[in-house]
Amino acid sequence: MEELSICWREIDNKEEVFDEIMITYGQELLHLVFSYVKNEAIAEELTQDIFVKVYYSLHKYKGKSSFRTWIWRIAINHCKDYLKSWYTKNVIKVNDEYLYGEDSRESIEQVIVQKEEEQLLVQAVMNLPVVYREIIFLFYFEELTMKEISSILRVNENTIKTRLRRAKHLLKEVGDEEKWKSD
Amino acid sequence: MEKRLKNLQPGLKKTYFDHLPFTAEHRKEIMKKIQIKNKEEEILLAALQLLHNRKTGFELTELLRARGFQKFENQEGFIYTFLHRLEQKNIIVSEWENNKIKYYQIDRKGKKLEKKLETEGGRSKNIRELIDWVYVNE
Repeated sequence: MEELSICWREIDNKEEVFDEIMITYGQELLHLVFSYVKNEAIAEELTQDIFVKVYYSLHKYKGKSSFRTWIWRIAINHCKDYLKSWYTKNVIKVNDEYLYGEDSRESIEQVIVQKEEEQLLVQAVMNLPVVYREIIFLFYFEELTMKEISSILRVNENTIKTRLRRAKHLLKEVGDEEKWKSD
Repeated sequence: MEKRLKNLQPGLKKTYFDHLPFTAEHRKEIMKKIQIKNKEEEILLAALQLLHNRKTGFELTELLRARGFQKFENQEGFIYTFLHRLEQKNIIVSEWENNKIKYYQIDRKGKKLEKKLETEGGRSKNIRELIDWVYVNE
């Protein structure tokens, strides 16, 4: 992918090459986007828009960062713009149907007591504010290094570390409230 | 907490991500969106951006092609109709060099149009009409 910057202008079969890019990065981007928007249909739509954006930005990719970093940065910015938009703040309601199944109408407390810690954790992470959720997702789900996260988010490493610590603290608080077993 | 967070990956995979595959259907949908987008207003905007520095029609066609816009490739000469019409609307200006090479460059009105296209796309009626007129084939 790193050679892409040099040859994208010259490539005649752009659509084939782009299909390869989608095959390589589609699944991870869809997950990434979902971690921001927490809604399946919206995640799918935004991922499509992100790829369209990527297609028309490929000529600008200069190989300064890894291709993956570059493409993720586009995706994350797109998600954040979306979350900031008026429409999101006022219209979209996020639901939890996929965590507990569609027929679950019990109160959150009841459900949480019944579910395993794993699901509790997922729920707690997804409920974190975006600044903390993204760090947790990138570090523990995608298993990126601090350095990579810093480069993708364009935030310095110390800030990332501070946020990660804070995020874990928040999760622990939730855990205590929900009577998790102590570590 | 550290130990517990090791469960995030399997946890997410079993819950949310279980319902979230990226499929061939998605890829097809994206290609369709790209093809639709690969159209008039996008090309117009790209052309305006490129014309911040003066260019010949040939150079412009090449640069648009590099960005993935292939509209002008199959219709040779159409780029000149396109540029001529933009010039008539005072969106771009042209100058001859040594009576041989004609260069095109964006004008003040073009910069305004560019801003508008960037912020709101081709949704306004005026822009829609302009685009229709600029692209009419004859």
